[in-house]
Amino acid sequence: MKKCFFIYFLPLFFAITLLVIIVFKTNINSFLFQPRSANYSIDSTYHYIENFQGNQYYEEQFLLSNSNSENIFLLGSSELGVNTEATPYNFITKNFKTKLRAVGHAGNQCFSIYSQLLANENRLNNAPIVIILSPGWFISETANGTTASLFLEFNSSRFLNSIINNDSIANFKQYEIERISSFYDKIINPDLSLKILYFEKKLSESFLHKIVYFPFIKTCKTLNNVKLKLQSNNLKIKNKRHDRLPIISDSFIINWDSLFTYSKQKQIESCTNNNWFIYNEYFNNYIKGRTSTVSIVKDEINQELKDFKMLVKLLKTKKTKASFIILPINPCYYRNSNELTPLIKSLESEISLNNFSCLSFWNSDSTTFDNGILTDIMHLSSYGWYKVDKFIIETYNLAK
Amino acid sequence: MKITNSIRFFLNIVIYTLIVFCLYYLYSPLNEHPNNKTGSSVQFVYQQF
Amino acid sequence: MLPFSSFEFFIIMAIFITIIALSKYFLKSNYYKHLLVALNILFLAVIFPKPYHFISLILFSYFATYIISDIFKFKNKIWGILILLLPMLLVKFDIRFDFYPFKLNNILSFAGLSYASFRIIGYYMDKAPNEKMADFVSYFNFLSFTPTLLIGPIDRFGRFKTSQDIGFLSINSENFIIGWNSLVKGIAFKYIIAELIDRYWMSLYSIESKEILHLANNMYSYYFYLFFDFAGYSFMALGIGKMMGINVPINFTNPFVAVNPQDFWRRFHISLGDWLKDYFFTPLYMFLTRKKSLKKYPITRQNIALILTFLLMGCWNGFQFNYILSGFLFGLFSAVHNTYAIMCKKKGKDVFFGKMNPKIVKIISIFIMFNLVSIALYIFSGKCPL
Repeated sequence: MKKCFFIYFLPLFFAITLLVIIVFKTNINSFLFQPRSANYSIDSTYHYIENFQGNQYYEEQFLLSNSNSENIFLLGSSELGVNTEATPYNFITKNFKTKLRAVGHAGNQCFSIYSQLLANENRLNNAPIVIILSPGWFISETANGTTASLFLEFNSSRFLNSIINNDSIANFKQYEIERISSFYDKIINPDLSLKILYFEKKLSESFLHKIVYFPFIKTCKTLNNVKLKLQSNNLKIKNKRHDRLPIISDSFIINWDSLFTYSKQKQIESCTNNNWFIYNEYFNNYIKGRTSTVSIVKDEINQELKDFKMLVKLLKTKKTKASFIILPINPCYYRNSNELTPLIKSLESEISLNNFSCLSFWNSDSTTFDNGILTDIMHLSSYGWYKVDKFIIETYNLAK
Repeated sequence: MKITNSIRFFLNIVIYTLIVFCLYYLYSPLNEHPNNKTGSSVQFVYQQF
Repeated sequence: MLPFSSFEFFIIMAIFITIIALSKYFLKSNYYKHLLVALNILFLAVIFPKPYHFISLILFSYFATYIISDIFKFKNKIWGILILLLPMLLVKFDIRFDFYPFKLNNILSFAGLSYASFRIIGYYMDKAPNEKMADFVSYFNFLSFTPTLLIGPIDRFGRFKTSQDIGFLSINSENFIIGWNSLVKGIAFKYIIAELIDRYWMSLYSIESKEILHLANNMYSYYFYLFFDFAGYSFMALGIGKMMGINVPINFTNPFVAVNPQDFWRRFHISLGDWLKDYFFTPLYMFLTRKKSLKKYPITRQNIALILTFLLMGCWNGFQFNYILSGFLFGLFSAVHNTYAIMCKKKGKDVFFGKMNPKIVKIISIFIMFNLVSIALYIFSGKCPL
């Protein structure tokens, strides 16, 4: 025993003591772990942000107005990558004083958006936010909700710390904790903020859990405070309230009919090798004449649906000026798209019950489907985007 | 060569200090290294669920 | 929280070791297993992410083994194996039975299922027809022993039980030092060396790059990463096990100097290699020996059994092309080496190297084996762009 103590424990004790001395010397810490310098290019006139990963500048700008005009935020997933003249972050930003900024890429589903908004709840009041709902989120595997890796792309420790330190959102915070716990074990080297949220969930499970997890959560919180102190002031979470600017209505006349006719014609012309109105290249490479079916998930076990309902609740409680767009899927390619109609109807009714505007493109009937609205099987064409532009402009009174 | 207890003691001081500092540098929550990523370091474990 | 996933796990293990070490002075030696079961249950219930799932699997396997071997007394063990493997097969084949509010697949898929299944089958295969069922507490400890819960090493019930029976006696400063050194080695392997390889070597070039130098870099770095990561886990499990009074089998001994496939599997994931040899290769070889059509071809029989064994190993990781192909490659290497070894034996000389200096032969063999394993593991990783 004596040997154990002198030869093994004493050197370990020495090593740990040395480490502790260094940990609490923050200047040494700062030297070792200087805040990362920006290794990305910042475009202050940005319009489309794929994700926030490692980009604190864009995080800080999220849901804020410009210095002299309002920003509408368009949140969605893969469709935002279709960068055409008609895409709102180009069309609206180019033509109106009120700008539009889009955030998201494939997989940015309801819970990811919920979490981003919750972290910035002090900016939600009156915020013009448009959310594009893709039916693909609510079917098959994706109905399990936002994946862990995607969640982390959009919700950094900065956002999560903002949720941890905000007690005014108790019931929404609880939902966040529950959801994070469901995928926590898939995350390797979780950030302290994630650990804290997970341990909070564990702490509430039983008396035994409380005994085991209490010291852990205390340690995490202490370390987290050290970490926050280390970060320079300009990177700290700003919890102060941001006043919104009024939306400016431009005197602007748009001949929608001719835009619609022209863009629809263009889209239809690009689909010559099929009568499903899918552009030739996509049809040749991926579809090749095959059809598919959507795999319906029952409402009771549809996590994405639950996340959507919480998202709507959050938007309503925080009095946002939110609106929704529901995308269609190609009814010629997806043979059983009509089976998804009840779910889409429930989304529509949830939105209208909460008095939010909604533009639904949903139509599962291939005979009455507005051909040309999609460019492939689920992404909007320019024609579709112009329809979205019109909806946003009318909903937020961008034009007189 | 027989490693005496005193040599082992000093050797352990060096080894443990090195390990503790490496661990701190690699895993300290204060270290926001760009390569601190998720989903890779125990991927092998997850493959075998 | 999964075992070895964060520093909190080690704090819990330190508390467990302290409790066991102190209990040695208060409890009789035959209470060791009861103390161990209490700690294992505590870990499963409070720390492990899906406690009910794991406990249900233990209950299912115990009673299923009892019913299969003691009540129905199946002569052909294959049916028993299929029943006991059912939970894992449903997960691996992604067969879903979702009926609200239950999602069977979600209930069955949890961390450690594969390794637990291996141990369950091991116990079933080892159990003689008239042998009494193991006591439930020991069986529970065997499957849920915290350090080996997640990824092994794959222990045998007999070994575990012997170790458990002298649990308190094994707790002494000598074993503690052995365990401690093993734990430190594991920590250095997994958390430092593997992590450094991952951060600074493996990420040097894009995994999509098809340039030959980039491919070679990615291939070798993955082999080293995999070894240090996995061997690190095994050493940590061994170390903590030893400090808790249980002997966990050694799983890795420097595979980089293996001279042939047989030697490699005696050095790399030893417990899996042994498991496959005892419970799959040998019965399969015996089965093939009984086949009249193969009676005249002993080498073919061995080679078929070898390839099928390694294919099974590939499939165990998942029914994806990369796993199956890497399993097939390992099988192929073993079959080629087996044929070569038999030819050398028949002719009484080395048919390939002739009378070359044995030291040079050894170096060449190590070089060839190292590269073959690197290729097979690179394919296994699913990161090979070719």
